[in-house]
Amino acid sequence: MHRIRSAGSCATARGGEVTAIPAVDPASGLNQINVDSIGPKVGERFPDLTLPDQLGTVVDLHEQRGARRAIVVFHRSADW
Amino acid sequence: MQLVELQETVASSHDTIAVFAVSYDPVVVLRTFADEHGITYPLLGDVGSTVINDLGLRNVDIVEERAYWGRETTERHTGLPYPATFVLDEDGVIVEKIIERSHRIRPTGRSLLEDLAVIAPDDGAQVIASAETDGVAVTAWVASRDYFPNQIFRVGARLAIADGLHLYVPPTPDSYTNLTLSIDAPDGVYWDPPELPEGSQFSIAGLDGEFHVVEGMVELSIPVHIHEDVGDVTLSLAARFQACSEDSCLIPDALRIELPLVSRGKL
Repeated sequence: MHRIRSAGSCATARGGEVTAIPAVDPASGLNQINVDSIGPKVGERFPDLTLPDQLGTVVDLHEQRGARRAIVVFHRSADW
Repeated sequence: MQLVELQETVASSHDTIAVFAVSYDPVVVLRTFADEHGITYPLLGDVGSTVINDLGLRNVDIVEERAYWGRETTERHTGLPYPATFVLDEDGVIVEKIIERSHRIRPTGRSLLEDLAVIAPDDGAQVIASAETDGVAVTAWVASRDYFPNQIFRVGARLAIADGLHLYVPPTPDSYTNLTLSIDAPDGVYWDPPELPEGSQFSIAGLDGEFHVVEGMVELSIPVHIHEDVGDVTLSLAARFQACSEDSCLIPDALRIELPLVSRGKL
């Protein structure tokens, strides 16, 4: 029977609370980062953002979103 | 890959939830990707990473992360954002923020839809099974039979506890078997223990100490992500517990449920 390694790789902030973050991420061995201190904070309005999309159309995020809820992901190059 | 999974799970079927992706790619690269994978939501190109930087999301930990994956850091890697996922409410306020330690390990769109209460955790579950013993029945499921390597999906479980019985949850004295859920699977399968409910306080006549118990229906969720080398795999979920009534206990017991999954492979 193989040993299972527990993850704990997910650091999340929800509704202003930050879940406990172990000092080292067991899944990757990397030092944990302080989620709360990086970028916009839970409870704040997401900043205005205007950038071109894949068709070259300039998109204003909140305007495009309208009154809908949204998922915004930041990722490395789509080229990789 | 998260961008493709978001298209399949969210953008293609739930247009009440807006989806946006931000990278530092120029338009032509984003167009190629969108065409190849049928992406209909905006892929936004922050060439020069100005916005990424202004938002405070430029990944300064990238050197350490790449060293972990056995790679050097070149100029191509400066300007990368942290692998962040934000969930916004109707007013654009951030209600959830997830930043993984590695770009490869990302939450699924499905799990975000569940957090947004757009979809129930077991809705349309493709892999689902049940087991029961005296006093307790367990149903466990995974929404999709296919998993994307490195994406964090959820194993859901619902326990139905017979009337008049309760199970123990921490903190509870050692001699009692607390409810635990665990997964047996090969190396490369990573999971976190589920968050257990606090339960209600319970005293036992003649015994010191605080007991916390749960009754009726309990729903739990185990986050799982699987390395790309694992391939097709069966997750074996074990639930361990001890059911007691007001005045007596059944023996500690366990139930096991097998959940077979297929890998989408490397994209």
